[in-house]
Amino acid sequence: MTGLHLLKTGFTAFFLITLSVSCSRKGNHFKKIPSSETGITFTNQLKERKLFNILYYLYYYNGGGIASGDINNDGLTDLYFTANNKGGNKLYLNKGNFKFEDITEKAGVTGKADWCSGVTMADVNGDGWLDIYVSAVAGSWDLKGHNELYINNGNNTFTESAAEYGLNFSGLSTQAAFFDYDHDGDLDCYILRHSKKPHANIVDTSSRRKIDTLAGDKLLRNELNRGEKKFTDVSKHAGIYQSSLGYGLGLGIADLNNDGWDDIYVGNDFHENDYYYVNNGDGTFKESSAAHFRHYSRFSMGNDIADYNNDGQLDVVTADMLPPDEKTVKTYGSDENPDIYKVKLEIQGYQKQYSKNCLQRNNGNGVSFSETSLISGVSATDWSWATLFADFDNDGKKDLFISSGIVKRPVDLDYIRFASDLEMKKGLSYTDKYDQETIDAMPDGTSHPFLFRGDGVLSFTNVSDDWGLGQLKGYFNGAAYADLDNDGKLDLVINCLNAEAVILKNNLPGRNYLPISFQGDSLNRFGTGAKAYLFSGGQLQYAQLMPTRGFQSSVESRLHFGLDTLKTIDSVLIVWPDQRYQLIKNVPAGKQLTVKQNQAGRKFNYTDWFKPKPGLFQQINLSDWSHTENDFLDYNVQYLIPHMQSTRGPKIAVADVNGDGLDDFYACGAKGQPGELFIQQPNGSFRSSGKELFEQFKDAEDVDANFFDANGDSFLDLLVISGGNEILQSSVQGLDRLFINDGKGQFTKAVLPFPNQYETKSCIAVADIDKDGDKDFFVGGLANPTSYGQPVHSYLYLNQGNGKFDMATAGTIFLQSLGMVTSSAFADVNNDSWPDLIVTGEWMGVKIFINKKGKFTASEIAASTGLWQTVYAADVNGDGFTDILAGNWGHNTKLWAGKNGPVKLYVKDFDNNGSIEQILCYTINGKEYTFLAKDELERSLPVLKKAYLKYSDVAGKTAQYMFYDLFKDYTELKAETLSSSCFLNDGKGSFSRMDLPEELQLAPILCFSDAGNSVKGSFIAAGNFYGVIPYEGRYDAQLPTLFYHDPGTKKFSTQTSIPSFDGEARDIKWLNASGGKKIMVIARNNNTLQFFRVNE
Amino acid sequence: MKKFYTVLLLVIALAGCQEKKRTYQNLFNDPVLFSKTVKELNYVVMQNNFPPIIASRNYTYACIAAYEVVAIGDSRFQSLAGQIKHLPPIPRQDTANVNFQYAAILAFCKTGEAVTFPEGSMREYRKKLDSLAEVSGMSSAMQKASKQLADSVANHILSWSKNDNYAQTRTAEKYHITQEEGRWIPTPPAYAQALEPNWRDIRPMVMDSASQFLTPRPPAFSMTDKNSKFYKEVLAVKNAGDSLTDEQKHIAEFWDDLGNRTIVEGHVMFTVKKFSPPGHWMNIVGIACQKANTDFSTTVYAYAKTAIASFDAFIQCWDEKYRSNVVRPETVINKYIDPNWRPYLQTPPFPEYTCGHSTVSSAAAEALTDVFGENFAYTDTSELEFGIANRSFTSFRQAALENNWARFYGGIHYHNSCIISTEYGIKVGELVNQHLIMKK
Repeated sequence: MTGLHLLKTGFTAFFLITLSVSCSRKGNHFKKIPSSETGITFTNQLKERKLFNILYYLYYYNGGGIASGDINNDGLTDLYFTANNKGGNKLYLNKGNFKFEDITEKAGVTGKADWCSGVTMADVNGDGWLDIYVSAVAGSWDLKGHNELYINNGNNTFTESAAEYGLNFSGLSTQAAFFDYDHDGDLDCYILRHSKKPHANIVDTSSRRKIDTLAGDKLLRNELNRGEKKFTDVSKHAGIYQSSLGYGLGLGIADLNNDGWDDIYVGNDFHENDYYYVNNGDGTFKESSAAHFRHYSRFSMGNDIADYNNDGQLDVVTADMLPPDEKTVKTYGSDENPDIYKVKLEIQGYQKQYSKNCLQRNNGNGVSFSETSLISGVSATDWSWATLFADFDNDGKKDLFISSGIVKRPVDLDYIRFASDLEMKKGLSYTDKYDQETIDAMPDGTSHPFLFRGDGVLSFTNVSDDWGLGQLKGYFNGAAYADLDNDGKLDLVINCLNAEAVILKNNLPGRNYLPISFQGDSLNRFGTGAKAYLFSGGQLQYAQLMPTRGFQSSVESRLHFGLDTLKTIDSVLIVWPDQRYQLIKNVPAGKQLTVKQNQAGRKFNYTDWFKPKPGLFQQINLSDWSHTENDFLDYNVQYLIPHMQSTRGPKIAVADVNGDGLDDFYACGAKGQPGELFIQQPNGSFRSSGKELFEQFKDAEDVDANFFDANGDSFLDLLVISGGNEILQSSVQGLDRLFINDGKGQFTKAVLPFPNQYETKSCIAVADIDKDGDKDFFVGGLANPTSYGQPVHSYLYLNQGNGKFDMATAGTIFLQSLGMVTSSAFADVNNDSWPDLIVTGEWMGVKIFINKKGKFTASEIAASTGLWQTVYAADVNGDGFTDILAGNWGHNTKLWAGKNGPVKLYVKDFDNNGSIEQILCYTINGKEYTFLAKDELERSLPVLKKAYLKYSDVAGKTAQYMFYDLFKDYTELKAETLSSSCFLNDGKGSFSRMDLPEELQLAPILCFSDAGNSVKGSFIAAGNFYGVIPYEGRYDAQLPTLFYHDPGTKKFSTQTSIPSFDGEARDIKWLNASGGKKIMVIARNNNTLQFFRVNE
Repeated sequence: MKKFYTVLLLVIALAGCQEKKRTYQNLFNDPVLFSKTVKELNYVVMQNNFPPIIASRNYTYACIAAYEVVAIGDSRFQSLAGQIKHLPPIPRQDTANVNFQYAAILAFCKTGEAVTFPEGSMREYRKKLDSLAEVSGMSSAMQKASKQLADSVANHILSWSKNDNYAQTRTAEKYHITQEEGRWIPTPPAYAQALEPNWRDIRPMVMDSASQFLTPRPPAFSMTDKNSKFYKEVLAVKNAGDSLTDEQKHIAEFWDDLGNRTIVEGHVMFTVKKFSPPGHWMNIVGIACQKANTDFSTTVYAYAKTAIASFDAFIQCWDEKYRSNVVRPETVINKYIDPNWRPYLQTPPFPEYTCGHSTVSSAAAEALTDVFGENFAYTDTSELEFGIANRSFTSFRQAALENNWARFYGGIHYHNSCIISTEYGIKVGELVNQHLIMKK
């Protein structure tokens, strides 16, 4: 108790003024043009209504949208704004030079709906004039109205014709998009709607099939090609979910899989995952998200689809609400614990979702998407709405705009746990008398719009301040980009809540550009859905014309490309929605290119233009064996460990055990599952062998296995070691086993010829370390199952020559409390012919034990501490010295994104209750912050509740501040780098670390191998890791990828990858098969093995 | 907010005493003041979101501290040392100049504050008590002596409390969720983790172990056999919930006592707070004392005995909860009968069998019957401040019996479980009554 008093008094004496060091937010590349100049006074002002506010309608603060398009065909983009109040919508005619005229009344587009949400422009009736379609929220809370279709009369007036066309839906609409899903020439309509159901009780995904007439989405076929002014509801036939499970807030239409048919991506808020409807090309869609996406934004808001990395593949970005700053993120909470996540999402059939913006990189034809928001630097922009990819600085690389801000933050932890009750007691009981007090208790969520500059590859840099957006303050909802003054630079328009709309003129330094407008020759006169590929100097840019983008908004009906210094484009390939194409050569920059469909020629064949790279690896099925992870959650025992330690399997051991020249292998089994020995048959198949033998040890979790001749009879015996990070409940569980080979591949268990260590082990490395002609081996110790963070012993066993082993003494090698070892390898690093030992692990440096004639001297590579998962010794750069490939946690993680110092783990029984706690911290500008917020920490450390009642008391404060006088006498562990790396050996015993390419930093790397017979001199890396809490978010973006070191440039480059790969790779091994062929096997945790043959 | 409220009450009390020139003797020798003090702790518990069984622990140690001061000062009562598990004798000290009522209240506050958070949770309240003593003419020597006794007893109780395994259970292994049929999983809308899966490891006060009274096995899970006991129990919950009368709704709400009711509306999430089951029973003790017009010492005795009975009852119940891990009616009905069915009350976050509230209610009722007699009629006004009308009872046991229907009407328990819980709560209460000799 005295400690706590100290804690308290300490604070007053130790009061830190942590004024946010506001950087110079002075950039003004985007200049706000005042309404006095533009004439745009539109304000989306929320008006008081009876029994209607954020406590009744969950999307009360979602704001309005903007449609931009040239409604009078004068070459200037006009703007339509929607408002959340009746009669508040505005249409502004662009008069040039940022002058606009409010023609709402004259044009007859004021609108009758009480609450308008999204808006888009499209030529619905195919007459060459853009029409306006406004979505409305109605049918609940006494809100009246319906979606409205304003048909353009061609004279700056419009006629509301929704009923006539069958588009007068009344319900909870968010936005609509018009596109030609069936290639019949006219523009069909997808209407995105949202549920109003409280999401408190989560129902099973089987309810997706139930139709909800207010909230369900709609697909409507335009019958214009048959001469009818009519839309037919084809939702059911087309396979569109129309249920109340969908909280549709984002709508993206694009041909994600390059088959010529436009697909639909729907962003869903809350527990419903996003939908990816693949267009089957026969009038139907198949919702296929699970097969292509690994995870999504949890609270998906707006989205955008565009090719940001110029690889000709359309990528997806979705907005969420993760706060970017320490203070806010720590009152936002640490998400659910893994158990609750399992109950709410997994058991009910939902896919993985994490609260962060998601950047889904298309790995080619939509086969798979790698989510890279963290490594790309765009994951956290607070409560966000619109995401828009566009090249704002005309450098040929798309940038990313995100709007953000909410009037009230109802998710604030202090509000939920404390403030809400004070005000809420009488709330929601048919009177709004107390509502205002309740709402006032919620903290404000003011933000600014974000801009990120893209590097055209993987990374984005936050330039919000430099480019002048950081100084804006408010609630920014729907947004659109458009070149309002035709100066070749995209300007921005943002619809704000309770404030005037923002018009931002782009004043970035001039670079070359190319706008492209489209003239369709059929009913789709603006070419909606057309694609443009720009080829120049070996570079590619690609965009698809689809006005509905971002959030509740639509952009102008032309494409804009930045060209940097390029004066002429070699060729522009245009593919029209009917799949006819044209190629235009030598297109000059700086002048709008108008392409005409009547000049298009033959049908486009995608593979003629974009030759499929022949997959280097061809997957083959050689075994149905699946690793089955046992149902154990490390977090239930050690609440605060950074990640699970019990899911590191399976490893594979390879050897020709029966001397037939074909490689056989042993696959390690998890607890409750026996390992299995597979004997390769002459026909290339594998037969299981020795089942009864291994069955006896199924209670042990095999963590590594190795074939070597233990007893000197020249046959390869099998050593299997145990671990698993569970408290041992039986002696079998921790048992190591040596199986003796009779030379024919028949194994018997030997009496263990070395002292068994009943500990959680991790790895085996084998070598004749003393050159006495027999094999010795090293066993790495991983961690104590109740005190992760405290170093454990590793062991070296010396073969006495007769198959009996002695533990090496400390004089031979000192391995006591070596650390938390994950991986080891023997290799001669100093070319003295004696095998040296390389060992590393989590929170360890890379340790080299130099073998001096059988005695080892330890050293550690400087500044090499990391969360190392694997080491692989090989001469990577071909200079004759052994280098080290080392797999680390990577960069696509909250531990790296936005951080700039070491990651640390403080280990101690902080509250003196007999159990060890681990406090994971990261570093920003030299200050250390706990990874978890107080809500998670205090579950293990109730002492924190005693000292701080409110979450805001310590949110944004350093770990040292939070723990004050408890923060001493701890074990401090650190990871100076999270980069998967190569340690290059200079041959003089010195190693220098080089980051592997960013392509290999997308997730933890858990295994390396040489490239077998695929590419000589190359290596392959694989990984992924799911055993983390939802707040950290599982690591699933890493494809197995081939890479090499170029001795000329002294740089690493990646080659090919395996886009179809899904899962957690744990081992890669090559097997010699008949006919001198080789087979690669990738072992996956809790999944089948994948076998690949090299295409020649 | 609540703090201001009580402070205000005290100021009024103070103003009143100045008018009537109340002496410190009759000011502190006031059973109602003690009840108010218990209620003050009740608010701390409620505002800071303590789960019910931890709340029970908070009340029990605080009440025992107060009682031990009374046992020193009032020869009619004797210490619990040697009677409840491992409580060593209270160190003897000079009590010549002590006001025992003031000291008992201070011991209660000090202990209550130590077992709750935030630090200084009752500091303001204590300050007011001190100024009351000052203003009402208590000599500084007496104030000092009383505080010394209060501190000494409270420290003794706290050091004894340290060995009850509470700290160890903070980091013990958590409940493991599997998809096994019939096994408890978290329930909507909060989907909170299972509360206190290791509470059986807490040292009981009177029972020899958590499993001294082993309840019968619950009915085996079966939703396929429509004649199975389990199926019938499930259906009974659903049917009752689908046709609740106003009276039944009142009963359910009256005994809801869910400390933290989570409400989720879109992104808006908030909690509505009430007293917990043991908090409710602490309040009933106050009502009974006022009605029976008990003196200060007897009042403290009634609180202490009721708290001890509730404490052991929770341990007995929690031992069974995490032995059988029975699924809640809501989960079963949603999965097998109607995905949209909701219980009238919010399901609390722990396994169903047995019922905590029914067990604690009947144990508390036995303790109170022992103090006040069998047919002690009273009107329970505890829920009025949460907007729920009063209910009148002919006896404590009748109230406990009503509670077991309340949990069934509330749709959060099978009735079979409530019946068994009542029976086993009585066993715990009887054991406490038989075992503890508090009144000489």
